Amino acid sequence: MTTATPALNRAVLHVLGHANVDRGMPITDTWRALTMDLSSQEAAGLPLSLGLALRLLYQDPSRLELAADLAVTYELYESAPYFVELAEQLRLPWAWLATAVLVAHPGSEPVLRDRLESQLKASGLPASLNRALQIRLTPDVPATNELEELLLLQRWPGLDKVRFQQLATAPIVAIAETELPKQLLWQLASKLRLMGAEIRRIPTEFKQSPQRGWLAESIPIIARSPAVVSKLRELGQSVTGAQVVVLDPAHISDRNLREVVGTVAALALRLGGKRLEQEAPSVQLQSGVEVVDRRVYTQGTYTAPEIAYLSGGSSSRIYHWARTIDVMEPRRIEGLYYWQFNHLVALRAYHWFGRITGRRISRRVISGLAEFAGRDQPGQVAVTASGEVLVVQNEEEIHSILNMQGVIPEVARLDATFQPFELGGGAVVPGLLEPTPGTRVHPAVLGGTPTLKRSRIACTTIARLVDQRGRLVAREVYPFLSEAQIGEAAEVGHAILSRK
Amino acid sequence: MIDLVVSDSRLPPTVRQQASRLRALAERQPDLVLERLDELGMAVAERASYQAPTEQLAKAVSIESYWGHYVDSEVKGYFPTAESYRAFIAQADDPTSWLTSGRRRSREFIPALHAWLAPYAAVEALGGDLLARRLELRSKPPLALIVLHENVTAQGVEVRIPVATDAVRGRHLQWRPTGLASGIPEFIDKDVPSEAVLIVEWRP
Repeated sequence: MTTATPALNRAVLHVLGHANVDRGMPITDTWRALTMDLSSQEAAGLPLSLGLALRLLYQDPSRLELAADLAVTYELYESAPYFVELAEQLRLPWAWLATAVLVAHPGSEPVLRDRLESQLKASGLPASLNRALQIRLTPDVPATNELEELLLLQRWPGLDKVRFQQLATAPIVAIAETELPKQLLWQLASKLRLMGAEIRRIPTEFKQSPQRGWLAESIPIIARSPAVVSKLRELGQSVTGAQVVVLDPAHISDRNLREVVGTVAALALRLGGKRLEQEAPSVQLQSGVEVVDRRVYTQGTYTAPEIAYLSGGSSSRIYHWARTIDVMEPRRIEGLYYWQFNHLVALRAYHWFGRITGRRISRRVISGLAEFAGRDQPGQVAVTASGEVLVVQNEEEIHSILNMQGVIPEVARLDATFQPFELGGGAVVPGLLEPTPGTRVHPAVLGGTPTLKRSRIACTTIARLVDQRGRLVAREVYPFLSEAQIGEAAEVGHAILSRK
Repeated sequence: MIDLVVSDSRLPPTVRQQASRLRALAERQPDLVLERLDELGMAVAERASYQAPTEQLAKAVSIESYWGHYVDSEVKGYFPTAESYRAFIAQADDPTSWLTSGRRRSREFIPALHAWLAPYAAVEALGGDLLARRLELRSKPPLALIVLHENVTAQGVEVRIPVATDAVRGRHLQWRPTGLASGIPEFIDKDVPSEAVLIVEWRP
């Protein structure tokens, strides 16, 4: 029997009690915090813990409602008894609506539904809300308008799979829980939600028969075994083996979990025409290689003026850092000094932290990022104002770090430092990878100097040509460039060349 | 969070001292410390002086947040999850119209605790991705941009510059006294009524 331990209960209450209900993505962020690094027992007990926490959140309506949204979003039917109690106490529409979804789930005891229905008899809800509630409870309520039809098919997609596909419903993905570790279940649910899917949990034990239309042939089903299909068909659901994506928990890693969700996305499109969004890496160059990839991060041959333009410092300060921090020592080629992309990123982050904190920043930020040689696996990089470079394997970890409540010093995703920022006095440091809309920086292209996009033409080359021979000549030399491109490149080039 | 309050020189010294004294409790009773910081923040907010805004203001939130807190309960009744709401709005002919008409009608449409606003002129031309980055929302597009009327004095909207205690109360852990890295100024208000809202724009 699944139980919620006191420690888990405290942890869940703490997360809910401090959840940010306004900024960011409250449901997504709170779920990440709730499911981070759970043991198998804790993962199994999470829904009960959330239910228990409700009573202690009565004085905090925003977070109470957030808890309800979480329960519905991740189909935490195990918490249904607590929501029935909550709805009885509060007698608020949102509480009833959330409870209706949970008690109608085939993993919930039928008696809970009876309790809810007796509450609703004296609810005094407006007719439209009452119907919305009833549609959540049963597919047998005919829709009387477009929005009701939308709700009916979102809740009971198997009623009319053609209309489900045609209407603006969210894609649904079902996950069969039998022999699936709960940590994996929550991980899958998180990823699929981020892709825009609604989750449907197929319980190991059905406390009540699923109602008609609960599932549909157009819905992918993630399962440990294709045997789930015969079980569902016995229960009257119209499903086929073609819907099943088999998952072997013993061979799951972050990489092949991404492959699994990719397969699910392809299946959702093929079966029901519903498109799931693929999660894009946060910072990618046009070549598709992430900028902090080990193959790219230590490339580049940047002059001091280029570093100054792209990091916000001055050429003289760059030479100062080169003398005083070992890892900032440049290479010397034909009498000229050149730095690499990691040096540029390090100096940029240093100035960025200085700007955002308004105080002196440890030079360890420079040495930390300059020493960091990139990473082998795709993932995310964060950096602290004290110079620690944090490499994490997935989005969930980095969000967890960013959400830590003042326990660690100022921390930022590395790609946040790539955005334009003000230095003070009106000076703006341009975007690192895209200084202007028509220019780009790629460490492996022309040594990383800013170039016009989709070309190997350095902005400084254009700027020198314009200075020495005028724009007309520049147009003649580069007839395939527009006047605007010449102007944009020259502007960036002049900004670099003017740095001393 | 204590450090944030203590280091904000715009706060009265007494407030900063009170926050500093909480350090002794921080390790043993962190929740109590947060509660006391919240109380401190409420006191600061009550004593602060507000002014009528001099420019049109706006607030950007994720669609998930908009569905969760800003959509009218009758409209929300048709959308069991944020995903279903988002799917519908994204495919609508006029998403902005649906977002605007579906908002809650309330004196506290945007409660004071969350009434962080930015000049509309600074964000008007930004798509969802840039909007999220420039305002440091840590949200992914699509976003809902809640735009207030140009003149909102009749609706009682008054603003001030946020201080550290506001950030602590709102749990804006990434807030800094120096403001957003993009340079876009932020303002904080008391409760913003729904009548002050001109339009809610869809920002994919």
